[in-house]
Amino acid sequence: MERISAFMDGELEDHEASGQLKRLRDSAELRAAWGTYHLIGDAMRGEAGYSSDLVARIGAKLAAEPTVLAPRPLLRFRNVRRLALSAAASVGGVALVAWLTLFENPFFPRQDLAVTQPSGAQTQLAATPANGAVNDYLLAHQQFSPSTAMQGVASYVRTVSGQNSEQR
Amino acid sequence: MFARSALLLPALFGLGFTAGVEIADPLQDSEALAMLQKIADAARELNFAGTFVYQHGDQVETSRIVHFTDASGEYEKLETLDGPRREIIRNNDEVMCYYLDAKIMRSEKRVARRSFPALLPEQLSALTEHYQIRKGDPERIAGFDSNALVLEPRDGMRYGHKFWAEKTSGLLLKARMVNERHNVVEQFSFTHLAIGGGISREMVKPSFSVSFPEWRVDRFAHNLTTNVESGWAVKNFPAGFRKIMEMRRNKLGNSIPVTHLVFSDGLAAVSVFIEPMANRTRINEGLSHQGAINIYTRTINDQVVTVLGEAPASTVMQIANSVSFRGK
Repeated sequence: MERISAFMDGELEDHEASGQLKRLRDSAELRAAWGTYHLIGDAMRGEAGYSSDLVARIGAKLAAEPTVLAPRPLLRFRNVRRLALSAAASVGGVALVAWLTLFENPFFPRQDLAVTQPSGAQTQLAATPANGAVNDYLLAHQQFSPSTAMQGVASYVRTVSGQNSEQR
Repeated sequence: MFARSALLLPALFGLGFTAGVEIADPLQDSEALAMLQKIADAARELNFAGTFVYQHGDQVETSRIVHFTDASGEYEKLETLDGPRREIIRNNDEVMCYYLDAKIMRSEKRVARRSFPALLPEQLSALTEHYQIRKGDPERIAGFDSNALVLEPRDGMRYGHKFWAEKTSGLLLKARMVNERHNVVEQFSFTHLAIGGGISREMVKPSFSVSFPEWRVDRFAHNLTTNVESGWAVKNFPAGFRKIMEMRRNKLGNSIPVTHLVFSDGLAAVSVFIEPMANRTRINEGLSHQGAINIYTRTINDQVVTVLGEAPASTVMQIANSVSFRGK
């Protein structure tokens, strides 16, 4: 447990930190301690805390609710791992999205997310707009879309849609 | 350092409106097929000019389209009226996309001669196996009376479709794709349309010419070799989808070709592109979208696998996650 608080305070060497991270991933008890220490820290700094089971509740919601997987960043920034997860209950088109910006977060190891397979009808995945890197793919795809047979080049408006920035 | 806080943000999802539930009016398969066939024939054979809106997510974009056909073939022109100026010109089997803002022209050569809805009997049975087909309520669109056709998916692996065709000619006036919650993911709808006379060949010519060296020409979608055996396979594609084509494409300046596989369930198509990492200067792994087209990119060893199509993200991801090299 001392190691955890040292870890939190950034006092561990890199190799120790990664060991600690691994233990966090494997131990529910350590994760609970991690959450508690952060709550204590927040309280000491006078920041409004959230209840200690927030992570567990979001985790439970995620298991039951649609998952949003945001694209991973550029390859060269790969180690900055940001995953946006959604606990979205869509009512009349409005959804509450929980964005968790995680950096190697032990509560949601990325590996687990990657293997969380969408479960058919229950799954809603959100995606960010494409950035133009695959524009040639989009065009190469379009002729095979049955919509093209039904509406001609009108369906190609997808490939030149304005939100998509073109790159040279 | 570790992120300690979780932010809860309310966000708008989808278009915020829901397609009404309609009373089922079961349709004979042959009737549905005839209607789809009529829509496709009208899109090829009629001369028409109009303005349509394309909606996806919370975006609405207006474009103008002209279709002209004579003994020499089929010509089409689409101009975007909102946002960056872009134009698409089609001369028979060649499609050219002009991105005026970036000075890029992309050309595409059509190879899919026998595409939907020139359906084979087994494709039709696949369609009725995976979609429930019924008539919708007649509606007035852009001043025309229409008949509606609803294709509702029987599982979560595909979107629902609704088509409104002009009563007499069969020309498609409106097309909508909905997700499993009946939220609209994409919609095309004419706001103004003239069918028949008054349309000339002049109206389907490009508005400008491509000059060099200011313009760059990308012929990725143009240059291809069909009937290849790439050795790449998708082990676990969703029910109803089957492989309709396998080809190899060449990218400008890259000697290593890109493998392109296409899967379709008759109403939606999903493409799989496999490209050596060495070809790419940037790779955006994960999920993104362009309109209703979901795009998922992952890497397998030194290959970049990109799967995209007008299907739910889960479908696109399932296909991407089961791509493997099985060897030649």
